[in-house]
Amino acid sequence: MDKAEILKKLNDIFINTLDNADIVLKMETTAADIEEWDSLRHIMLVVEIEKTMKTKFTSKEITKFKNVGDIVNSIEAKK
Amino acid sequence: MSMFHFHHTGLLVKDINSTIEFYKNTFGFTEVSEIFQITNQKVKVCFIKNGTDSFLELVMPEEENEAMYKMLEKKVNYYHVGYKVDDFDQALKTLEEGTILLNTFNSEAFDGKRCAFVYSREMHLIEIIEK
Repeated sequence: MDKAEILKKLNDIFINTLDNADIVLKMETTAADIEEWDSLRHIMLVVEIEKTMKTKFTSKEITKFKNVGDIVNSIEAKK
Repeated sequence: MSMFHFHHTGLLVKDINSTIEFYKNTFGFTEVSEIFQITNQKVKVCFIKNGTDSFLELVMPEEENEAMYKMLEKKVNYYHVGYKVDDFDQALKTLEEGTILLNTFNSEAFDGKRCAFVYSREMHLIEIIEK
């Protein structure tokens, strides 16, 4: 699965978890760009990404995620 | 024997003083701590003793704490449990695999000792407090 495919899957997860159909993720998208993406929803997103992508992040990885690109790169590195 | 010793159940409240009065008058829980301002978390808290080594932690968000006010609006009232640990670093290491670390901070409610909030993957919020 390449970065573009991962990004598309993440986009679906963000839309469903944050209940916002208008979300269009880019690699540089951050929490500041999406109103619903607060610290609680961040954890919910991580849990949903882990389930959907059948992967698991460590707490250290999660706290280092600064934008969507970091998540994509982390998933790609685990595949 | 687990390293995690139950300490409190955290309750979100809009008015800490009226909730203290409720538990005093209705349940007879008269042992109430002072009210602490937790700067890092933008909340005021107090502890009501409701059993042997067991407390209710009343947590009142400050006005600028939008995230917690949203939780109150959604009627999320019972929202975390707190455990005390002897070895804080070892406890976090033990939890690293099974939980997601939300934050760590020094709490005015526990003499500046270290605290951490972690989420289970079922979204249970758990506080770890250094003894």
